[in-house]
Amino acid sequence: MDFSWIDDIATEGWHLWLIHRPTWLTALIIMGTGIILAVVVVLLAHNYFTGEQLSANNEVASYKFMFIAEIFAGLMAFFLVGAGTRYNDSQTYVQDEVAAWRALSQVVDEFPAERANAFRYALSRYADSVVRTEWPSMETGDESPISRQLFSEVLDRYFVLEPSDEHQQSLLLLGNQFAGMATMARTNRMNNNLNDATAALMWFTLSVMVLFSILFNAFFGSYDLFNQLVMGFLVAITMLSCVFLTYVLGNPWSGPNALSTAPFTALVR
Amino acid sequence: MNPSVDLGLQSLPLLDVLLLSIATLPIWLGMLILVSSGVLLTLIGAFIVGRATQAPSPTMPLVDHTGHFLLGAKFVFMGEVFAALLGFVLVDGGIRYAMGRQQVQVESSAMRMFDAGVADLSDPQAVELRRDLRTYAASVVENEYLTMQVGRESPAARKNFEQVLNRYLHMETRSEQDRLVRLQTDQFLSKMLDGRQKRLQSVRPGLRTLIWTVLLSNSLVVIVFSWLFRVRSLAAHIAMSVAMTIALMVVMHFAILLYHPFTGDLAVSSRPYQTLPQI
Repeated sequence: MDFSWIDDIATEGWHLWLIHRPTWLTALIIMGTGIILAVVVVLLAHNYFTGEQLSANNEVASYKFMFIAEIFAGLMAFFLVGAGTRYNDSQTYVQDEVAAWRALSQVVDEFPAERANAFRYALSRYADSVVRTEWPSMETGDESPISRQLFSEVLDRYFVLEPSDEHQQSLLLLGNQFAGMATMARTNRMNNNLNDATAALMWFTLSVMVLFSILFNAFFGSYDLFNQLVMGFLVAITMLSCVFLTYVLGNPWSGPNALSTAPFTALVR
Repeated sequence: MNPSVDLGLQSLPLLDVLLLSIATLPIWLGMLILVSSGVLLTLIGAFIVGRATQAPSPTMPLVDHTGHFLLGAKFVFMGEVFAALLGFVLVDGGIRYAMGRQQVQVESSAMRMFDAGVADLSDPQAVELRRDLRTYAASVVENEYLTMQVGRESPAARKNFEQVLNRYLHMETRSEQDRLVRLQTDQFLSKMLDGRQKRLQSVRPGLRTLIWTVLLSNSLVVIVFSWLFRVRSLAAHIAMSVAMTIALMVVMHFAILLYHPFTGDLAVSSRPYQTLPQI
């Protein structure tokens, strides 16, 4: 049997290992763990107490469970909207940056071929480095030093352009706007990552809520154990599918659902 | 519909095609189909489970009141979590719809201002540029409004936009007046580019398929869960389940329309692109 995945987890860490699995497997691991826990908790409780004893809790437990539901739903909505916004914003910044570079290239084409080619070559190298080095480094929220340097080189190639007449002078004014748009989009793309401590705290809070919501099932009792297990199973699916969705949306640079590098690849010549 | 535009439906996930088909239909028909499907599922399930678990005699208790507390509490919990998920989908869809509508206004306004500014330039190419601008506007209406339904930009519209930019860059600045005008038209061109990008962003699929897979599977779970309740009157049980499903499906239909801002009866109008004055 192949246990190399244990080494992979040790090397990459839980988070990156999990997000790099196929979508169905990530869903299965997240939801499966919760479902197993939900079933085990109910079975354990019924092992130590009778259904009748536990049923006596139901009235009060149900109100308290509903209170937990309100808090959990509020938290879940916050996380879902936050993760969804982050995913969409990241996609916007990528598209904005590429569109600005494309427009700037057209401006630069109006200048002498030697300078224009130097700019295009620098842009191509930058785009290539974004695809090869920056995308992987953004998985951990970091900027690639190579891309940063190549980005500066592209701007340098643009700012050395010298207008020979009024026309070119006015072109540079337009080009400056596009260069500003590209810089702004890149900066936003970088700043759209959460730092490790914030992400860890958010996931810790959500995990605690999930855990307590599942453990709370131990207080309920029923004469029909099977019925109770089905309920626990269905509730766990609802709860953990939302957690799974948050997890995927919150990682726009990683795994099979990561944002496509195609817009930058198109800039590579 | 422009027959020369290839929407590439065959390359879309089946769920996306299904959602698009519902969004394309007239509102009443889309809602009717969605509600009917949900109600049919509810009826079948509630009837089968209801018959299987119904009390044999009206005097026999179905389930003690503490059992319904348990079921009710879990159903409320599930409902709250589902509401959070549905809320997220509505917010995401609402943002897409609002962004699509807003950016059409931003881009078309910038086009009108750009057109007016360019008309003041002394270069004879200004007339050609204004024609290019109209060609671009026409390609947005005829082609891109269709490709945006499947979340893509139109290659023809993109080419026409680049043609506008290209011609503008080639135009000469011949006087101080030209230079001043170009300072303004540069701004409008940037706004056009920005508006175009954001308009396209409002329809890019992102993780739409995954989000809707989770939402639809959760809807199914909620409907199935409601079958676990035991009510003495099967008719009342079915009526309650059907009412719940109708409410759910109406909201889902609304969310589907929000996710498709350029499709169907609620589609953002293309009229702002058709308001450039004749040359």
